[in-house]
Order: sequence, then structure tokens, then C-alpha cells
Amino acid sequence: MKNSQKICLLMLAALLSGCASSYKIPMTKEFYDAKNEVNLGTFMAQAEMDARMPVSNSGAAVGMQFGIIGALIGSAIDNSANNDNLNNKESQIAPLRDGLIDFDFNNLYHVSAAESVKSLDWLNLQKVSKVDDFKKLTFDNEQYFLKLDSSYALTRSFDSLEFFTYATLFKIEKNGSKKKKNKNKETVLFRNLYKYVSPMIPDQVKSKEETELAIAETEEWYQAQIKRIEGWSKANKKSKTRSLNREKKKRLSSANSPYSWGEKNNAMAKYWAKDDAKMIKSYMSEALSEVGKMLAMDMPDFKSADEHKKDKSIPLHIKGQQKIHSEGERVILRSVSGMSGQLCSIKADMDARRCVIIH
Amino acid sequence: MRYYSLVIAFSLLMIVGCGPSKELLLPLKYVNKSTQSKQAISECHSTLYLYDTRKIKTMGQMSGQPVLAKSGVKDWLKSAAHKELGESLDFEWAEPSTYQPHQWGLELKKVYVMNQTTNMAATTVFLLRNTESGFKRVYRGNVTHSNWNSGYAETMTVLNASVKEVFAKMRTDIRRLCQA
Repeated sequence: MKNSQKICLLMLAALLSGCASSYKIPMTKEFYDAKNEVNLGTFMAQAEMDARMPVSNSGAAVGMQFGIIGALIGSAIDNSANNDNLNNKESQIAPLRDGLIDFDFNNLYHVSAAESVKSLDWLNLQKVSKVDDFKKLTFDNEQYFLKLDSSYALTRSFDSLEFFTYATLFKIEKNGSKKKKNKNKETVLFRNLYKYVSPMIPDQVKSKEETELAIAETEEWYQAQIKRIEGWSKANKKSKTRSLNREKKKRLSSANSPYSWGEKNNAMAKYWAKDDAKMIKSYMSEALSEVGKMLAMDMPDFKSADEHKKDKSIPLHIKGQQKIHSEGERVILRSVSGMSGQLCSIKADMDARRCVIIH
Repeated sequence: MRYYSLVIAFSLLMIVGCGPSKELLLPLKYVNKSTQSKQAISECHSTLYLYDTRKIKTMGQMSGQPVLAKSGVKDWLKSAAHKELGESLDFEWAEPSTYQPHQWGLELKKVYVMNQTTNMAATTVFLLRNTESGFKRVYRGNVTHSNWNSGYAETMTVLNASVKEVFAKMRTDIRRLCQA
């Protein structure tokens, strides 16, 4: 019992230590001054636009009270709920995905990321690898390797685009030992996360025309059904008419109601997709340029997150978010709490908590 | 006792969390176990040209590992097209540059699988076009399923289901093309 308790606490501590507060690992001035040869890998595993989805995570915690079986049952319930959420999200976002069908964003990303790194004059860029999956690159030589791993998605309510880039600079060294499975030793010399938040689109509400069209379609459907059962026996007709009336009432009620969560998301996706998805394409391009800007600004910043936190000369945009750059309508914020060190580009008038929380 | 359960739960979580350590090399084979009638197109004297216009040739990722095709994507989809739309329709893969505006062309845009939380979603997207008549329609097969072990069998089952769905969605339009 005591041992179980200890092991459990150790496991919890191990899990929690993974969520350490300072995310950024700053680069050293020595590395910067040496103008080292660096190879670059730009990663983008996504094939299409994605969206966050509500994740059900309650069953396991509740089930845990009833031991391992309870936990497994709870997980199965969550799994089923999440499958529904995933299924709904996939169909809600389809109009936008169709609108972006010929937009080769991965290539745009690889080119832009390589250009951004090429423009860093303190770094001697060598080989560039473009990777469209999660493949781990194999290294033949000792080298410095900069990995830019990016992903993008709409928020849960489909109102904004979020783009993430994890930048990690490794020193790859040969282990020497042939017996060891992994012959390379990877030391992280720099690490940070950059987030771009696009401007929001307006909430989509059901238009009067849409309501009228849905009512007209319901009427048309009802009349067609009534006509279909004209020749039926009196008893059957009566029973069927009753069920048709019930269905008609349900359809009319739905037609007159505001959008449901799913309908609204679908309408938002259609809004993003209109005019050949022009707006979201421009935000996706803006995301690339903002990430390039953040990378150029942040990599040669040798201060730790704690040092920045203590520096009261930098103005706070909101609690825990220092404003480090302002250009046009956008600001770049540095997190000094939570994922501290992380940079985020957002419109100045938007709720900056969007930089912290995944929406 | 409760702590003991927690230790087992954490251990299970850690084992499951590890997932496959290597890339998932899929032996692509189309199997449709459904007993429902496929409503094959009985008469068709046209050739439908297929074009692979995918920008990304990898097939997604499962538990952080890439999903790659062990055997040909083209043979797999051609076999699926025959099984779902009927043997009387002739499918030929061609280079996208050889497309003629008067032809009916079926472009493969995406085919991939991604895991999210404890589930996975497979997507297959085709675009049917006839430039001369101005016809252009996107068909999307999208199937989600629980992801138990990120294994070959379940990944292949979900991918095949998405392929089945995409062909089912275009069946009416293809039938019309055959009758023309």
C-alpha cells in the first residue's frame, strides 16, 4: 500500500514536471557569435485545414473512483464522445477544406520558413529539408540542426485561425557506441514556441431568408408526403399524418431557431470559404510572415524567461503578457507566466488571453 | 487499493502512449466487408481518367509516426473504384498534364489518416471535372473511428471506409456521365 502510494506520487511528479513553467530555452551568446553552420528542417504534417474540437475527458476521472475497471469504462465513454466530436468537426469544416483544395499551403510554408531562416545573418544556413510527415530525419554527420515544426487550426468556435511553430535548435553528436540503438546524442541549444492568432470573423447568425427558405422547404416536403399517402387506408393515413405532423413541427421549430453549435460552425466554415477562401489565405500568409518576424526577434535574445519576468521596464499588455513589438494593427507578446517565453502575434484590440488559452 | 489502481492506470497510459515506434507502412488493399448492395453501374462505355494531383504524397500520421504506402496508391484506388462503381467502367491513371478539356477527369486530391485524442479520422478527396461543360465537383469521404493501437488493420479499415464513402457520393454523377 505504502509502495503504491509512493510510486503513484512519483509518477504524478514526473507527469507534472513535464509541464514546467519556463518553456523557452534561450540560445547562448557564444553560439550566436560563432556563426555556426546550421541545417534546417521544416515540418508540416497536416494535409488540410483543421479545427480544435471539444475534448471529453470526464469519464476517466469519474470512473477512476471505481478502480481500474471504472477507469477503463470511463475512457471508453470519453472515446465514444470524442469520436462524435471528431466526426462533427470533420463535417462542419468540410466547406472550408473544399475551398482550400488547390491551395498548396505546405509548400508556401516550407519556402517561407527557409527564407526566414536564410535571412538570419548570424547563422550560416546549409542544407534545408522539407518534411510533410512526422518522419525523424537521420543524421550522418555531427551538426547543428534547427527544426521548425508547424501546425494550424481554426478555434473550437471556428472564429479565428491559430498557427503554431515549435522551433528547436539541436546539437547532434555521434554517440560512438555501436551497441546503442540511438547512435546520436541530441542536445537542445534553443527552444521556443511561436503562436499567431488571426483576426476574428463575425459570429454567423441565421438570416431571415434562410429561415424562410427552411420553412418553405418544410411545407413543400409536408405537402409531398401528404400527397404520397393519399391512397392509403383511413387508419394508416391517420397514423401516418400524426407522425408527419410531429416531424413537421420539429422541422419548423428547427427552422425558426437560431443556429445550433454545429450549424453555426458550418456557417462559419462557409464564411471562411467564400470568395475562394481569400480571407483565410491572406491570414495563413500573414501567419508565416509573423512567425518569421518572431523567430528573427527571439532567437538572438539570450535572456531567460525569468530575467524577462523581472524586467519591469517592458510594458505589460495584459497580466502575464509583455508587449515586445508593435507594428500596424498587430502586437507581439511574450508570455512571462504559464508557457513563459512563448511569443504570440495578435491584433492589438483582440482579447490577448487568446495567446495563452487554446480556443 | 485506490492507489494501486492508479498505478495500473498510469502504467497502461504510458504503454498506450508509446504507440508504434516506426513509421506505419501500409500494404494498401481494398476490402469492403459491407453486405449492402453496392449499386454498381451496370452499363458504361466511357473511360474515366484518374489523375494524382496530390500536393502531399504521404498518407498522414498516427501517434506521431508517418503513415506511408507500402504498395501502390493507384492500384489500390483503381481496385476500389471498380469494386464500388462497377467493372463495366474503365479507369485509367494518366499524367495530369495530359488532361483534355472535353474529358471527364477524376483528380485524387487527398488521401490521409490522422489521429486525434483517442480517435482517428481518414479522409479521401476526389474532384470530378469536365472543363468543357464547366462541371467541377469535390467529393469527400470522411470516416472517424476509435484508435486502439494505431495498427495496420484498423488504419486500413478506416482508410478503406473513407474510400468507399467517397465513391458512394459520386456514384450518381458518374452514372449520369455513363448515360451521356
